[in-house]
Amino acid sequence: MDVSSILGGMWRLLLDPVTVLYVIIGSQAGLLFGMMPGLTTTTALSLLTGLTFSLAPEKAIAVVLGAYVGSVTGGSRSAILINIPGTPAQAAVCLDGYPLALQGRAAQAIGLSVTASTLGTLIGFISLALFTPLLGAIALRFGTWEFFWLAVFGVVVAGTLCAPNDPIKGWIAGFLGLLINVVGDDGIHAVPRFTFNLVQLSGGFSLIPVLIGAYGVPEVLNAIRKREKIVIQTRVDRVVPRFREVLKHRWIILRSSIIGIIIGIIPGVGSDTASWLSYFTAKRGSKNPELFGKGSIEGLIAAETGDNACIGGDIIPTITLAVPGSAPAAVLLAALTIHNLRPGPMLVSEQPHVVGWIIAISMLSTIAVFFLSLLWVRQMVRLLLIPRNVLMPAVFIICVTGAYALSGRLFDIYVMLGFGLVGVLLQELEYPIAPFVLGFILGPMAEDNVRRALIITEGDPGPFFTRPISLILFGLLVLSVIGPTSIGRGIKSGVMAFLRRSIRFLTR
Amino acid sequence: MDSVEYRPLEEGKPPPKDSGADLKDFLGALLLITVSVVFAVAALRIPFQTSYWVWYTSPSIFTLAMVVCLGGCSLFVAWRALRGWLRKRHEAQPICWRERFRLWGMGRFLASMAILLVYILLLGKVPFLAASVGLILTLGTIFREGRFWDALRSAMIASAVIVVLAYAIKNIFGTLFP
Repeated sequence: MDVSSILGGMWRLLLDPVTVLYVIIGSQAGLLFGMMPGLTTTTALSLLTGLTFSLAPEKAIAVVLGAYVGSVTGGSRSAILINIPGTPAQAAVCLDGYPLALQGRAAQAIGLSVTASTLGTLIGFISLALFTPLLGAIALRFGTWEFFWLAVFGVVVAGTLCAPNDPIKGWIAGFLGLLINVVGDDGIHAVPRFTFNLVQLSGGFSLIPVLIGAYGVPEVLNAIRKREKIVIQTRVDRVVPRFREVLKHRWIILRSSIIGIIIGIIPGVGSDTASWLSYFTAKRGSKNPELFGKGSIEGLIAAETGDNACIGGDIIPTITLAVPGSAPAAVLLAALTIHNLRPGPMLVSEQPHVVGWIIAISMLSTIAVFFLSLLWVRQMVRLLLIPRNVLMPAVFIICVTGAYALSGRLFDIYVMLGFGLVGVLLQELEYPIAPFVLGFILGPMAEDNVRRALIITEGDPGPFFTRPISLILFGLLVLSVIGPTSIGRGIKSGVMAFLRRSIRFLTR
Repeated sequence: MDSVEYRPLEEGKPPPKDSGADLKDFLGALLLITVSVVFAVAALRIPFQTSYWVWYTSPSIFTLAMVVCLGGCSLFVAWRALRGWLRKRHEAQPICWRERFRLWGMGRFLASMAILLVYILLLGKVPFLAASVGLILTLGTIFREGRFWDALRSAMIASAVIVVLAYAIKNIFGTLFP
């Protein structure tokens, strides 16, 4: 682990004014995307990944990471003012942010949310700086068998957590993503598969058009389909950061940050889960739980801190294991791969300066988002009043540009529209999109590693179940599949009863 | 079978939760089973053993594993949905697809899809910015909520903004346009 190279990368980036400017541009773009209801962080990142393709790697990553932080923070603006979360992660913010706005405390709510977001993001990024080199060193022990299980585990866990009421639908979405990914020449023998004689499909479906299609196009189509009129309920005065008020709730911030970081590290699960979990944990531990949902400061701070701390957690497995912590992190993984930065265990040892860039950009974008959130508040709020039927065609045009920019093929635009329809269909049939996208991204990792492992052992699958880390991952996979079923619930209650009896026996 | 009187759904109110949900699940699962079958047939056409590879390194081995997972899970969902639908079909009121589609906004959806498709097909044949301005003006005025002239004014402002934005994107990021 070369700490001096990491620090060197950080300093070189911090001293480059052009990259700093790109961080600011990305952060502002993220804030705007985040506050627009219906436009998710993943859409923002997918579009910007396509648009920044021709930039130098560190500048493109500066824009994408800046937008990541900006959009997660910006989503609270519409949640507080119009009771519509800008991104799904801010749904919990609506519960207390909007009642505060109705009480005429919109500026206070925005000030609190910006401050809590900043602290949450910073804590998340500190954990990123601390744990990335550590996890990178551990990841070097992983072999091809472990990477196969890691990919499958990521898809299955994302399926379980994204469809908690019906996990099988989450798994189906994940398997569909893994299956769609096999289209095109295979990675080992270069045999063309499932291309239906289309030359354009020989390289498979490009990731960015698929991502923009699956996330962006359904948002455009749904916004045009539904009739919605947006009314802003309150005036917004000057927004002031409220560090002192927020720091009064330091334990909530710390607890929510830890929840956010842990949720972020789990593959495929993003800010929305972190936000809700932090909110309910704060409610359970509060002296005034009756205020939650009626304008509780604690609730607002917990939700905001949790979803922002998740960003740092999301990035850790993305850069050390090449397993994205969430859908936006999957786009970040794609952006890094497109710029030939090869995320994974070798990144920390072979390109430590890239880790330094990511840490420096993360910190810079947190500061940029903090200041940008306090500037132009009233002007930005006015953007919420843009009619959907005018805004969404403009977003579609940016989607088209993003899909086309990467390889300059009109075919990618057709792919984007096709996957947009797949996204609409999945949404309507209540299948989550995140596992589908994660399956598509982790597909090559799963396929190449399982085949490579079988080549090494000449067809013997034994090491998949006998190598210690492999066995642990396989065990976790089985648990995550059985856990939500009635058998899993039965086992869990049996184990809990046994533990209770044992504790009673020991303390007698 | 007892005849059930059809009661029209109120606009703005969601349809009863269980009505048609099982059928929707069943049809969705059938679609996924079809996808699995298509991939399975195509995968089985690739030989398992050649002079280049043996069964465990065959290019179709992973695909077949995924087909089994997807097909198996989809079969389970189809069976579960069919069982639920058959159990409830006597109690549930008949599904009026036309009204369901109207409430969902199928008309607006199909119209917007058609316009977007025309826009995409025009790309490469007409200048990108001209086609984009046309798209905003068309969608902005067709799906307006208020008066035509207000909608046209908003659409024109949005068109101007997109032209400026495209210019900025091209210069800041060096992006290619279709």
